[in-house]
Amino acid sequence: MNDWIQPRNSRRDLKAFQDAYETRISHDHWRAEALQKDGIQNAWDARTDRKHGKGWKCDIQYLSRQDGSPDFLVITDSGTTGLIGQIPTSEKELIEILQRDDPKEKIAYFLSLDWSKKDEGGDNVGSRGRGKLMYLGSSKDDKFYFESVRSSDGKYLFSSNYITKGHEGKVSPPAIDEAGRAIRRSALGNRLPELTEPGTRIIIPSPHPEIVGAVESGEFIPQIQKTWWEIMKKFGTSVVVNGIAAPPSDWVPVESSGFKVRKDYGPIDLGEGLKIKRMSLCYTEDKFVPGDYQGVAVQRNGMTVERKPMSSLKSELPEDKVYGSVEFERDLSEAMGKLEGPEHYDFKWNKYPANQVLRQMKATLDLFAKEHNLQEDERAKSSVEQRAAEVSAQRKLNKLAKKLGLTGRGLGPHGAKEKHRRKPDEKLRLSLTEFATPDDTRRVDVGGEVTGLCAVPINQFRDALQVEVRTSLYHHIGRNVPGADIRKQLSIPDSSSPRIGIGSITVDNTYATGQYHFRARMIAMEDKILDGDRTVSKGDILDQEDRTFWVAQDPPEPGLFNIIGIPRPDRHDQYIWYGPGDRGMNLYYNLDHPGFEALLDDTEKLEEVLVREGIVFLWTMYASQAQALPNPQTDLEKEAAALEGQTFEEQLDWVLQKRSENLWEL
Amino acid sequence: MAIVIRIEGERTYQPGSTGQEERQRADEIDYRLSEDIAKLETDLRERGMVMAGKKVDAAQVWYEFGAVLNSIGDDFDIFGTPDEATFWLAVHDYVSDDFQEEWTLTKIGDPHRNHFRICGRMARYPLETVKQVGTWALWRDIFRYNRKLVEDKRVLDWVIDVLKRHAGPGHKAMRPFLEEVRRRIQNKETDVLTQAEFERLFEGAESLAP
Repeated sequence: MNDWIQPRNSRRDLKAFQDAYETRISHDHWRAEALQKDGIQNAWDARTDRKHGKGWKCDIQYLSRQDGSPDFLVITDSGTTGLIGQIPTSEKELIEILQRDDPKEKIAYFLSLDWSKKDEGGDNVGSRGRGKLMYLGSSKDDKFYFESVRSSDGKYLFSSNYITKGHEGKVSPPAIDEAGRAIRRSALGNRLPELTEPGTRIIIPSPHPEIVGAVESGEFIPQIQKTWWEIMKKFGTSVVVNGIAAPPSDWVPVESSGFKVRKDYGPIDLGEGLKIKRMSLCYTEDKFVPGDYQGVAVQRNGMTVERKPMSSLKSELPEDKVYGSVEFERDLSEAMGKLEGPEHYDFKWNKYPANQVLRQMKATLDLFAKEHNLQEDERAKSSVEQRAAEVSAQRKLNKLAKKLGLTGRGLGPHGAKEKHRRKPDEKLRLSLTEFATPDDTRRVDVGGEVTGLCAVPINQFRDALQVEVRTSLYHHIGRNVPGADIRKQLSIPDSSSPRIGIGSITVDNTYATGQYHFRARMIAMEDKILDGDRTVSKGDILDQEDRTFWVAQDPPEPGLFNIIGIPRPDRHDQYIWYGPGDRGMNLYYNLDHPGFEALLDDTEKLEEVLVREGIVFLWTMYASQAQALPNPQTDLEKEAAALEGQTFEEQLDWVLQKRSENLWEL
Repeated sequence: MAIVIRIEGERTYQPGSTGQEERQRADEIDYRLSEDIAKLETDLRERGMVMAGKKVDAAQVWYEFGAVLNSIGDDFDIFGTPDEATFWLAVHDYVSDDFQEEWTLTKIGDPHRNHFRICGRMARYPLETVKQVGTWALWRDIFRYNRKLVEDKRVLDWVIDVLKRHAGPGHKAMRPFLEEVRRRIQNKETDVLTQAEFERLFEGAESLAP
C-alpha cells in the first residue's frame, strides 16, 4: 500500500504565518503593512530593468462592492517580466518544474508555497516563497486571483489560490489566453479591465476592513514610503494608491534634505570580500524624526527590512534627532539575505556576517557623534573613596584585558574602535555640548582655558515648565570655585536658549592640582503634567550633568576599561553594565543599587566586587569577538569561537571558569 | 582663605597659591585644631570614654568631637565657604589612631560622608536630643542613608523629631523609615519646597517608624 501525502491544515498555517507578522509589526494596521511589504516586494523583484527599475510601477487600487459583487483590493505591477517560465499542465508537472531549481520558472514558484528560488539572497528581496500567504491572509475569503501577461511570449494567464472548507490549500491550474479570460469574466465580471501589458496583477476579494481603511484613508502611503523610500528616491519609481502617486518621503537619509548634519560613510570593508556599501546618518537640530523613521534602516535591495533603534546599537544619540540607513554591496546583501527573517522584518544579528555589520554600525554611529560633537558624556558621580576603588579595579582589569589582546578595537583585523556614548534621550534635559578643554586629554595647565562651563536647559514637551538651573565648579575634594555657584529660575522652553553657568575659566595658581567637576542640575519649580503624559513634581531633579577636567595633572591612564559609578535610582535592572567609552569600554555601576550602596564606604570590598564583575564582562567580550572572527588564530580564540552554537549554559559555564582562574591568580 | 592639610605626610596649604595673610590664618586654624583635639582626646581618655581603642559611649565621644570642631569652624567662619570641605578632610590629620577607625585619606574625601562632618552636624543638636534619638549606630545610619539628610537641615530636623518620638528600638528597626525618607527625597531638591510642600512630601512616612 502506498504511503499517504500527509494532510496539512493550510488555514492553521496561514494563521501561524499571520500571527508572526502581527507579533513582529505590533500595531493595529499590521495586515496592511505586511501586505504592502510583500506585495511591492514581489513586484520589485520581477522588474525588467534589474539595475534601475526603469519603467517599473506598482498600482494599488481598492474597488468597492458593486451590484452584488464583492469588493477587491488590486495590486498591479508593470515594467516587470510577468510570470514567465514553463506553464505546468498538471500537479505532477508542477512538481517536476520546481525540482529543477531554476529561478526563471516564476509561474511554477508562484503556484507553490515555500518553494522559491529567487536567487537566494541575490538582488531579490523575497526568497522564501511565503509572501503569497499574505495575499490569502488579506482576504476574508482566504482567497486571491492573479493574472499575468508574460514578457517572454506575450501569453495571458489567469489562476486562483484558496483554502477550502476542509482547510486544504489549493491552486487552480493556470488558464491560458482565451480560456483564462473566460474564467476571469466568470470570476470577476467586468469590474476591472483585463491586463494587457507585461506584468502581474493580484486581485484580493473581500479584503479585511483594516486594509480597506488603510488604503482609503491614505495610511497606506506612509507605510509604503517608510519601507520603500530607497527605490522611490533613487530610481524615481512609482507606487500609486487609488490613483495617487505616493511621493518620496522627506525622511530620506541618503539625500540632502536640509538637515543640520548629514554624512555618508563607506564603503566599509568587513573582510572576506564583504562590504557595507554605505551608511548614511543625519542629525536634525530643530525638528523631530517621526517615530516610523527613527533608528538606522537596514536596507536590502531597496527595501527597509529592519530599523535598529539607537539604544539597540548601544548609542545614546537621541532617537528623535538622529537617524540613518545602511546598504550592502552585492556579496554582503546575498549573505545577509540568508539571515533575513521570513517576515522580512529582522536579521539574525548573532550570526556572521550580521554580527560584523552590527559592530560596524555601532562604531560608525559613535564616529558620527564624535565628529559632529553630538555626544554628551556621562561622567562619574562617585566620591573620592569610590574613585580610588574604581581606579584600582580598572588597573587589574586592564592588565588582564591587555593580556588577552582586548584593547577596545576587538580581536583580529575586524574589530572597530568603540568611541563615545551619549546619555539617553530625555525630553527634559540639560545640554552641555559646548564644554571644551585645550585638548582631548582634558588636562588643563596654568594659563589654559576651559570653556563651555554652562548648561542649556531643554524642554521638548509642548507645555512650558518653570525650572531652576544650578551650576557649580568644584575640586574633587569638595572645594567649590568661588563665583561658580549660579542659580537661575526660568520657564522652558525658552527661545533664547539661555546658557547658565560660569562660561569659561582660565586656570591660574589659585586652582589646586587635581580633578575638577563642573556640575549642572535642573530642578522642577512647579507641579505639572506635561503634554498629558509626563508628571513632574516641584523639587524633582530633572537632570544632572557633570563634566570633568584635570588641573596640572594627567587624567587616569587609558585601558580597555574605565569604571564609572553613576546614580540610577529608578533602574532596578541596572546593577553593572557596559558601553562604549572614550578609549575602550566604560564599565558602569549603579551607585543607588542596594548591591553597591553597602560597599561604597569600603574601598577594598568595592574594588573586589568591581573586579569580580568586570572579569565576567571581559570574558564575554572576548568570546563574542572570537566568535565573530572568520579565522581564529590562537588556541584561546579557537576555544572561544568553538562556543558558538553551544547552549547558553555551556557558554556561561566557560566564562565563569575563566573568571575563577583569573580570581585565583589575583 | 586656606586650610593646612597633610597630603602623603607633607604639610601643604589648600588652595596652593595663597597670600601671606591667608597662610597666617590657615596656621592659626591648624594650631587650634591641633591643640583642641589633643585636649579633647586626653580628657576622653581620662574619663574612661575610650579604652583599648574601643569607645565606651560612641555617641558621646563623637558628639564631643563634633562640638569642638563646630566651635573652631564657627570662630574662623569656615562653614559655608569653599574651605569647609578641606577643613573636614584636614581634621583627620589631628585625630589620634585610637580614635580613628582604619580610615585613609581617600576614604573620607567625600564631604557628604566625611565622618567628622557628620559629628559636627550631630553636635548642632542638644546632647539630650542626641541621646534621646539613640546610639551612634543609628546616627551613622541617619547620615549614611542619604546625603541629603546632611545637606538639608529641614529634612534632618524632621527625621530627628520622628526618631525622638519613636526612640527605643535599635537602629535596624529604624531602617525601613530611613529608607522611606531616602526614597522620597532621592531625586528631589528639597530646599525649593515650601513648608506645606515639604510636609506633604513626607506624609505617611512616619508610619514606618516602629
